[in-house]
Amino acid sequence: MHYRGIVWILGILSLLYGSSMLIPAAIAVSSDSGEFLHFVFACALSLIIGAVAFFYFGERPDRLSHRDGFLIVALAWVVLSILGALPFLTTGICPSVFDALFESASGLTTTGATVLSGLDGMPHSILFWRSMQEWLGGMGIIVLAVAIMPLLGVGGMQLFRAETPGPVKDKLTARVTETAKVLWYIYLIMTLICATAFVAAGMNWFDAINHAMCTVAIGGFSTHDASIGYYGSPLIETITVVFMILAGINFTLHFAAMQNQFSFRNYWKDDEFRTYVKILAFLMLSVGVIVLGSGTGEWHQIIFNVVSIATTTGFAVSDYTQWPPGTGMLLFAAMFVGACAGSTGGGMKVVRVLLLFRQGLGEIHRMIHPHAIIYIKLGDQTVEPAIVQAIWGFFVLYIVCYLMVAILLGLAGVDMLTALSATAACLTNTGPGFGSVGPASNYADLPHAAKAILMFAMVLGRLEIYTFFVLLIPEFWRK
Amino acid sequence: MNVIILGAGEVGYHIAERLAREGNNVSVVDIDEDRLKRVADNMDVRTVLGEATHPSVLARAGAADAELLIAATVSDESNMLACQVAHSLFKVTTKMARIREPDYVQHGDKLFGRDDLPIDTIISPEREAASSILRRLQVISALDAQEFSSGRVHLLSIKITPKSLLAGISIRDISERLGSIAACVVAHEHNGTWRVPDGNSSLLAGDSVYLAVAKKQVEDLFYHLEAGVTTEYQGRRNVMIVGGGHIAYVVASELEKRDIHVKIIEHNTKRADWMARKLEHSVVICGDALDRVLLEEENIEGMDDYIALTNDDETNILGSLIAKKYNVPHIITLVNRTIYSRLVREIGLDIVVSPRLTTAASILRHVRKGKIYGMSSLGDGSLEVLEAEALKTSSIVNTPLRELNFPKQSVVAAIIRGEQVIIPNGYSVIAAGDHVLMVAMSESLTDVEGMFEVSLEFF
Repeated sequence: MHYRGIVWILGILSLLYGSSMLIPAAIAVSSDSGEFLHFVFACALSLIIGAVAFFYFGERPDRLSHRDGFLIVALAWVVLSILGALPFLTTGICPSVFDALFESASGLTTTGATVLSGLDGMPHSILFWRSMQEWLGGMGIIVLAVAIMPLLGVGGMQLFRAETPGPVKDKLTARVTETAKVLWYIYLIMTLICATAFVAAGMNWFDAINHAMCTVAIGGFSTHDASIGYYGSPLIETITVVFMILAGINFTLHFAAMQNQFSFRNYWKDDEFRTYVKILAFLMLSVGVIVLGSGTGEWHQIIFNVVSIATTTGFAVSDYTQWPPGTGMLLFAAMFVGACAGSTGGGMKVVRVLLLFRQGLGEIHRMIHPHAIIYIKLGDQTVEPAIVQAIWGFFVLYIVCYLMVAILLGLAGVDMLTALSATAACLTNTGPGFGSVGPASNYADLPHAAKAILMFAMVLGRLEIYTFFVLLIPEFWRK
Repeated sequence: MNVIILGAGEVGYHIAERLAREGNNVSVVDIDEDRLKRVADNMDVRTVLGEATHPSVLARAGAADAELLIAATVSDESNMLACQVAHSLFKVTTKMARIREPDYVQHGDKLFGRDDLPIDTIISPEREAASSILRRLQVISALDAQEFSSGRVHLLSIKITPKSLLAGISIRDISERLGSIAACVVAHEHNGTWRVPDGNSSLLAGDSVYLAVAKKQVEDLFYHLEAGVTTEYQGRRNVMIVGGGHIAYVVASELEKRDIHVKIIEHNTKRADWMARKLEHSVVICGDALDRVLLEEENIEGMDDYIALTNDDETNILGSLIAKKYNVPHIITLVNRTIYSRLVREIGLDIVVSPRLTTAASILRHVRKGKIYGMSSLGDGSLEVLEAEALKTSSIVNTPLRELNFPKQSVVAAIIRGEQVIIPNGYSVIAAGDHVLMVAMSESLTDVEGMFEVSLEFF
């Protein structure tokens, strides 16, 4: 383990993250609302910690191993969540450490679960900081999902090694910077277009930028308690739906499409994309039929909420917990499936669910043809059995984690529906759940212990379980 | 013509034999003495022992005067290199090479050419065989189906059954029986011998014939011939392929595109594994193709087609016989050895594919000179098809066919005038510039060629 190298990298991350706090600080100055000093304090603290780590304890690593990679990824989310919580705590917006950390972790993991209410009257600097945390988190996730996790071989993510052009293990750093640049570029452009579209649809610039950042990051923080529903504008809803769907697509696919004049065929060739679209269409139809039949919602609300939950964004235009019970189960299942791998979305990822499903079909096939040789296919590629196994392992761990977290929440005194849905909402990085954490309420009333557990669940879900669990295995720490 | 053939394997041997018989000066090069001896014993050709790519060996084979080089050694790379050497050092006019690797074939148009790898024509036996199998699958009830003039004319082989519309009638009465469908019998097999029929031949049950028909009438023809015989498939078609070689792979992946259920049985575990990875939906089964339990487990009775494509002729023949016992309606058998080709028909296996024969035919197609465009063989290879342009000065133009003096055992199968296809009768007239499709016995081929070429001499 190259501890000094790990500290060095974390130092850089803290420096960058700390510097980014100057933006909300500047907003605080311009709106003259008094949070300026708090942001400057948090910024200074982050910079000092970063600088000390970078210059004093750290050392530029020559070469990082697999294990270093796991540790860096996990620590990055923990350290940045803690630093990001500072403004919430010192300004007194969040009354307790738990609330502040929860809000910060929820942002960085692009979950979008909040403990804050009265957002409409909240200082702009704080609102912006929340959105920006999601946006930065989303950026990190894309690099993580597209460039780093495939190299670490997390839960079947090796699948993408073939698609991201030619990375070799030893050249990890060079590759990542190269890939990251392109991906961030796409991410930034998408955010800018989204923000412009919002402004054109009648939002003010501040709201537009905030919502654009949270949409493209598949986060779900809003500057209003009523979320997107505040605007009551079908146009704004449509724009949000489009960008949620776009952000839920594998970014390598955007990259490939970008090189081919964005032809739709390029997307449609992708097996995962096709499934993603089919799942969304199926959900819209089935939820639509149930809800319209019962007269509890309108079609544009249905489309919006379905896309928001299925991509694990977590925006809302109406309270879907008021819909008939069947829709709840559908949305609940959709959360678990989540968005495409290599996107900012959460959940188990469409491709994993797709491959598990095909594996299941393959087993049935094997019963009919006992002597047949059966491989699982993705597009025209054969998926190695080892990868399918890794995905099975992922699936099992995911379910076990889900149950463990839900049980712990129950022990912390949370009622069953809330416990089950809050766990799902946090583990899949969606945000709002059902029961007392539905879109009309928030996480503020949960006990502190429950918030701590959910914070853990959010990071766990974000790091795709394996990355986190590997740190808990003694083997990992052995020389 | 001076021809050099590299490689005295199955393909090389067969081509050498054919070209020598037609009066060409043939040299055969191989590194195996025994194989060369077999060639030298059986035909009138020069044999040269040595590495096919070496300039000295090519020089000994007479490359300096050669007009045609056919590279048919086992190695793609040697074939390519030999063509390059022949081009650069000996200026051989026409170079043909057998290229098996699909990866090369795929980039054929860019790889091969005057300025690149100097190969004029690529021959790939597996592809040829696969496409011939696919053609036969398309025309379900034909024993053989070949396309000419860019697909505008089909030559279809059918078997005369006792109930057939054509059973027991003479050739001259056929057009009456077929009504509006213009078709003409160009080849007739009786008791295992193929010949070009004259108007008096009668078609008996058990005989096979080749019919020339325009593409747009193919379906009408079958509808007419088989009124009452069901050839429609209920639901999706099921095809069982035995053997997992390259031909099987090409056929299976083509069939997949046509939404046909394919089952492949391959004995070799590694090869079966490779197939399972490469193919998208086909079911690949690793097991013995002659195992009754396995075949029944895979529901051989329910198959619409059975195609035996292993490397082993005996396995293919036995497998096909087993499939016949299970009443599989259409069976295609791959047979490489000439000696089996005839035998197989006698034991009731009608559709036989021979990659070697198909390849040789496609090579010969390119060998012809003058205004002759296409070349192929029918039946067991004793009949030839050629397509040629009728020149203004040729003796065959502007005279009704019945008044022309055609060489023995030859017949005009179709006249292609621009987009129009004419299936001729005795009163049809060939105009200058028409393309004429002819069928002839191998022996009369030179005379037929002469009919088209002689006119050139006038200039």
